[in-house]
Amino acid sequence: MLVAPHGGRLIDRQLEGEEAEALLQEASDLPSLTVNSRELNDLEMISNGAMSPLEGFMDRHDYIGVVDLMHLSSGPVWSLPVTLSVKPDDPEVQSGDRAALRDGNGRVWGDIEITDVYRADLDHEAEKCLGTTDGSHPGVAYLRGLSGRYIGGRVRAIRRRDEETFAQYRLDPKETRVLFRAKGWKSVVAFQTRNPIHRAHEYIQKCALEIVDGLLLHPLVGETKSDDIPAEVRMECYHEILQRYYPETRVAMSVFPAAMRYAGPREAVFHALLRKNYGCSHFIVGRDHAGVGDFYGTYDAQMIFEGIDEDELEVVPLKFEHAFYCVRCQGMATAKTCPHGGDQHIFLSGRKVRAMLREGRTPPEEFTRPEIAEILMRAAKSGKENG
Amino acid sequence: MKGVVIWIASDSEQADGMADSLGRELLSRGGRVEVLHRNALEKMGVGDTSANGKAAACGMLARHGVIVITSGCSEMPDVSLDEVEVRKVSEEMLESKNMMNVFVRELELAGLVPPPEHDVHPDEEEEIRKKLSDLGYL
Repeated sequence: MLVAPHGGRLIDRQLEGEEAEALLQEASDLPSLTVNSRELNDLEMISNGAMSPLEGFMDRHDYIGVVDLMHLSSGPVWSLPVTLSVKPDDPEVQSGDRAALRDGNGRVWGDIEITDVYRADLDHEAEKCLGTTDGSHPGVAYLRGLSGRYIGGRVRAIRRRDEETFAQYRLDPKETRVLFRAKGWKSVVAFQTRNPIHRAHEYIQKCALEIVDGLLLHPLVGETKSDDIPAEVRMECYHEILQRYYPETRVAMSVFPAAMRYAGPREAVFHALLRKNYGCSHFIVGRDHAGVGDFYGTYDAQMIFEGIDEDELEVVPLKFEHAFYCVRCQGMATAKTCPHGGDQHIFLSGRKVRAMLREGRTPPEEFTRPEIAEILMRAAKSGKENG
Repeated sequence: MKGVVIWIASDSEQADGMADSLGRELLSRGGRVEVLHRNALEKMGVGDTSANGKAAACGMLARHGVIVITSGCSEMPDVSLDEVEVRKVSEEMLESKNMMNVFVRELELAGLVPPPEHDVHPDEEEEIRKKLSDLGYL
């Protein structure tokens, strides 16, 4: 039996076919609220059940509970706010109103039954959730661009499958759950990534796969920093490596349409909870998971789990060190398993790899499989960012 | 799972029916459920059939993780039951399916009653399997 969804049941607030048409008809008579790119990602994740038990954007009770205590007002543990901000051109709305949710181009993506409009202390949110108020942190910069007022309420979202990127890889939580059952997997480990797969990632994934039934490779394809590797390049890498080096019966790949928040430890918990909704019993947490720059300690994203009751979490974090190729061991290893010094280890930073690719130099085979290097070099030549 | 007493604050016959309906739902989810109707204590020969007596009986039944649903007293006494959660609900709150769902959902989120048995409805599961097969996952 698979792990139960967070809060007990999967939320489904998606509209398709006639229901979606009906909302589009009604929308012209409703006040319109603009959703930004992250909020649009969140709308999708709420409505497809990935953010269960959330049924909408948070009201003040959930917001305060999450920011200060890492719990929703109804009880379950939850680590990051999921909020809808009031935009400068939004009409005045209040609790009891219903509004259409439109993107920056005016296109309707859903609606909201408003239950709360409230002011938030964004510096406090940044301090508690991101661990900093430094404006050079992308999450803080995002908050600084908001009005400081949030709108809470249940949402519904229109699903436009024919327009979705990576459509064949876009599986909702209920779909991954059916997939896992069909494959006979009871324990599944999820691997979150926003980087191409190098040998180190492959090593960690395969170590994890030794102790569970299946691996869900779950690359994030929502909004990321501009210098992160484009999702289409990463997807090409994953596709290539899965076909050649992974057992087909024990691995599945699907995209994770969430936006990155770069919230380090809090986001590691967030990512784990969302993967639980996808049916995963285990979640790989590497060093500096969801980190950015030097804002978080190397092990912060792993240590945060020690403060959370495992009965509340119900998903097991698998904590891994950075992996490298050791010349003396003649294989992949980590500091936990290799006794040799750093001079024997082949490991490249993302910055170093980017520089090599820009210069047309192939990363060493011990670091990146040649098939992956070829994709990355081709993308570098065509002007796409690499790493 | 912690024990819970769901106190339907009504002494009407309909409230007994609601208690049965709620009990069946929670039983189908694998919960350990006891339903105490209006005259349950008299039928059992319990001497103290007051609201206080009923609350005490419910508390004892619920102590070891049982969901106790009771109807028959419009007022709930102000008693504290050790190691047991008590949730009071009015008859009106359970009249419509929607409102009952909201109430049960709150209990689910608080970890007091089990969630529905299926994460995906069996009919939908078949459709999804077909889609996964078409996409090459199965």
